[in-house]
Amino acid sequence: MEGLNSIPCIWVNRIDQPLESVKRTNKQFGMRTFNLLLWVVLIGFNGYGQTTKYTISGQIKDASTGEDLPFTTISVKGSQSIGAVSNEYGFYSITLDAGECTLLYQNIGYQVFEHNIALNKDTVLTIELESTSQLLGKAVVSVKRENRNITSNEGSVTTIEMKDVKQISVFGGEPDILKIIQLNPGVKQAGEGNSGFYVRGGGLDQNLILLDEAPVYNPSHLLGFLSVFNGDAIKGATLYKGGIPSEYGGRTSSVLDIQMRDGNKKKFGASGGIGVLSTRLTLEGPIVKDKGSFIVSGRRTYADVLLNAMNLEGFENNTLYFYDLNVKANYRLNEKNKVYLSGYFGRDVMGFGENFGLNWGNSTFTLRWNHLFSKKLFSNTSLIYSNYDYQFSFGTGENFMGTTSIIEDINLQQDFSYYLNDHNTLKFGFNVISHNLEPGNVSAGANTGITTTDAEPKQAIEGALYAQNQMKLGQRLKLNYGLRYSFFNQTGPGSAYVFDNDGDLRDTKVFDGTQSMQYYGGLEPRLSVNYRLASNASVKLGYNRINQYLHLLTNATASSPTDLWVMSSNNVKPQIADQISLGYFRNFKNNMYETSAEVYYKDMQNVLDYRNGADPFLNDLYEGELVSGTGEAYGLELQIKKTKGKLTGWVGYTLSRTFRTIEEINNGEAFPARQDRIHDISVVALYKLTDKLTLSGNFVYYTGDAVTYPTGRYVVNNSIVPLYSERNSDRMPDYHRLDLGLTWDRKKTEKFESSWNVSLYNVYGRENAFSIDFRPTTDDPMKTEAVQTSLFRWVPSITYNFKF
Amino acid sequence: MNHHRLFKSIVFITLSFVLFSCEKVIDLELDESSSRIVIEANLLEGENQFIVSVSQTASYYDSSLPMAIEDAEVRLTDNTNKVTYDIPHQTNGLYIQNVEGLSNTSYTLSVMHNGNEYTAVSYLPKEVELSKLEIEEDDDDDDEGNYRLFVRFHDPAGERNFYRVVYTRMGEKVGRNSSLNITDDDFFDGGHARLRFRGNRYDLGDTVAVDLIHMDQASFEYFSSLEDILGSSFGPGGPSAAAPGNPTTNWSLGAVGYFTAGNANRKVIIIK
Repeated sequence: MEGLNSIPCIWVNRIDQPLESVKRTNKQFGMRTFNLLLWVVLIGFNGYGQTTKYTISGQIKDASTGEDLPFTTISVKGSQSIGAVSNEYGFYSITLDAGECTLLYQNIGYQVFEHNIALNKDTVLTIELESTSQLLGKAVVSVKRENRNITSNEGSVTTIEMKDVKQISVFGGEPDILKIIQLNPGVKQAGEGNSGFYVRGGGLDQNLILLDEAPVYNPSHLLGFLSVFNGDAIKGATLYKGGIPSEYGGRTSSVLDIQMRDGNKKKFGASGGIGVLSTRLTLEGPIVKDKGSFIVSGRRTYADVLLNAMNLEGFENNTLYFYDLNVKANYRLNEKNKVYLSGYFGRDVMGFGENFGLNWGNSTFTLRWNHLFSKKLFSNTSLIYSNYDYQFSFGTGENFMGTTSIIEDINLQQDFSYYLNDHNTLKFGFNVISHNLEPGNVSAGANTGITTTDAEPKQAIEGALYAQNQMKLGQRLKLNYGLRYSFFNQTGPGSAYVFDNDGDLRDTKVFDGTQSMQYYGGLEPRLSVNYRLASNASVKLGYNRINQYLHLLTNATASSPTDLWVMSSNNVKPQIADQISLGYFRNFKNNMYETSAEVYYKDMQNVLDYRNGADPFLNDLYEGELVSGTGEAYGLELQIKKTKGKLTGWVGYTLSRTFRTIEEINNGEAFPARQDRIHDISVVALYKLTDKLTLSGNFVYYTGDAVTYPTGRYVVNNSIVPLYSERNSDRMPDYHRLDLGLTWDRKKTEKFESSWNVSLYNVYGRENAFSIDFRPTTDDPMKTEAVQTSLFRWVPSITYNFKF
Repeated sequence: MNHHRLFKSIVFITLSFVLFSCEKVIDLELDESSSRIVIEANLLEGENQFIVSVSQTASYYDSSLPMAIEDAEVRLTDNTNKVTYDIPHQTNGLYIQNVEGLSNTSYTLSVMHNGNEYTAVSYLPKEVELSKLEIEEDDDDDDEGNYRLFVRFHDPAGERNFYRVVYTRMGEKVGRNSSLNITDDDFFDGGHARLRFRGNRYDLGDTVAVDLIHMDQASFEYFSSLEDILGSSFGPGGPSAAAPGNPTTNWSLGAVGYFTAGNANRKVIIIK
């Protein structure tokens, strides 16, 4: 055994033997399970005391900017079973047997870094990786792309690379991370040009969108045509569609974890872009070289300037713009302590003369403190603030009527990573969120006849406690198992309403102070398993249960800024989703082609919908307008990705269904949810024509949304009224579209680089139906017709980007 | 208070305009297999002609008149005083009889047809006095009249009240059909209400009769959901129609339409 020192997996073999003996004795199932559990728990603590072990830990950074590099894989050459992954702050820790070994550091888009070490004491090793893009035009060094899609535990996970975001043109030439996410299998765009998305049959509100850990309640600018995430300020993003780790919770469908860039730690720089929709500018640089850095990134659109310049009649004095600002600073106090401060502030403003105004915005603020308790115990403490509000108004002066709605979170989060040994990485922690919801504060002028009454504010505490272990068992098996307990406590002051079956108010209970009005809580088991069949093939299994306590009431295709966020209460039960997914991953031609096939089944409880004819706006009793039921979703997702060569990109296909069953709707029979798009195809291609010219194209096709068309008509109150039968039994026309873009990188110097991007959205001018509308014809009001509205036939754009 | 929808329309229309949207009439085949019975009836307080209209739903693209049902049996019951009125068929699916509606009384209307008995219940509440009509000059809008009317009344405190306002100019009902001029008292419970409804504009010299109709919650919900459906100009595929459905009716057995009992208080004014 001692002879196997350089590949320290001895103790795993040792464990296999007792397991075998348990099987041989053929005892009762219960006893065996217990033994197995005992071994699983003890496994991490078992290998100790046999050989001397030392820990290598440190930071992984980008060589050119000094920014932290999360999710870098660290492996030992010649061993399949040993390895670690740097966390989201670039910190890693790996414990190995004493002796000589070669460490490999690998990250997508970076050169592989090999390091030989004679391990005879605990070592701090900070590594800087060279970006592969730095090598363009120089002698081509063989860059091995890791087969992380095979080896990682994560099935149902999509990592978004900023280089793709910058090169794939979708809309208006804006690098937009949400638009790229929507091109992945299992993810569906909410509607033409929309930033909202559906994941595996879930709703728009079931995606947890985090920007540096802070939840973003409305990711849309310009009613969704652009997302709030400015491509210049984003480091990267990871989307979890299934097998969601226990550190995340609160939304049942997916987690989109977006990280802001830290800013260049080595030198000052500026970058930006000028496009038809917006202008962007980013400044970054060291605070103290190699110790701390900052980044400030801003963006503003000028649709209104163009609009007013066009001098259109009836559109004078209009405003229509948004701006956003990302700021981040970090500072390493010493080897053991590092602080980060990040913030996002964005606002959309629309105004139509004096008649009507609407504005909305998100602000998020995160203060983080990384602390190393030891070489093996990493801690992060975050204080997070998140605010989303919207206001709209009609008229001015005495005729003014306006409403403000606010949702505000303050969150304290504590996470620990414990790098127990080379086979076990534990994560555990807790968080407590204070939610504050002001659904509608009304202000009105004297002439409106409205006595000002604000909708009742609501408060709640949401919290969670979690633990998980990422474990390697032998050469082939990796497990990540965890448990999360989440709870939600709605507190006073406030009123709890009791409704009858028709949604009519029967009783009101008034609570004061900080009395608990309603408590919910539940255990959420999580599991992901990766069994590697070969170095280029694996099977992955994922399971998760997630509770969701905040819900978005939307009755629209396009996500509207005024969609209402509501809390769980005595009437609104938490949504619960259980999802199981199974995937097969296989790479070909030395990882040039990555292919995957995944199936999933999701069961949803307490999904919400409106009663027919509900009007929840400014209505304290909106809970009576809601009905709830169950849902299910299942599907197959296929993807082929080409990662190397002149042509890169992917083809994705999703076959899926999603249904809801609600007693009050459709006579209690299951009906397809709006986003039940049966077939969904997306093709993304990047073709490098020359070193400087890249052609990009993407094509999407999906089955039309499930909608309800009239089945007849009648006359009531001298008006023609449509008659409806089954909910969502009809289909919108199928959607398809092709976009093309061309990026021209200008000559790059040490000091300055620039590029031009020209793109065309909807190349063949397909008139996709945004809505289908039934109305009386203009010449005969007794006759009705179906009218299709389409947005955007051809949207050309040109953008100039620079960096110095 | 349906500003929500209104505002969505404005945003949507503007955006579509800005972003070069286009509209076209399309040929869309609809499933029109099921037909339903349509019953519409308004009962007012006092001695009035009570009219019940009974018909059948038609094909969606059909522009012909509604198909009248002339062989139904229609009966009104005063649930409080246990009095029953048979409403005979007059012509073209209209069943007419003089009935005296009483305040604070519950009524059941039943329609027998093809072996099915459709029933609806409505409560006729007490009268709420329309205390004053106020004229305001407002020439913002070029298309319509330059005067608008504010309706003032005192809302009974401590209960939920529901109202509908009907404007009649020189014998002709005005205002768009899609705006039914309804409101609840959420914004002014127990207080003095001063309301104006969109689209009701007048010129100098117009004689306008205004009825303030106090009605029950079921009636309000019907009109409110009807308004949503009629006013949602985007149709079932559009951004404002999430849950396209039939208005929340008080009729049983899948009949559409409504039966509402209301207490009207009228004031007449000459615009000058």
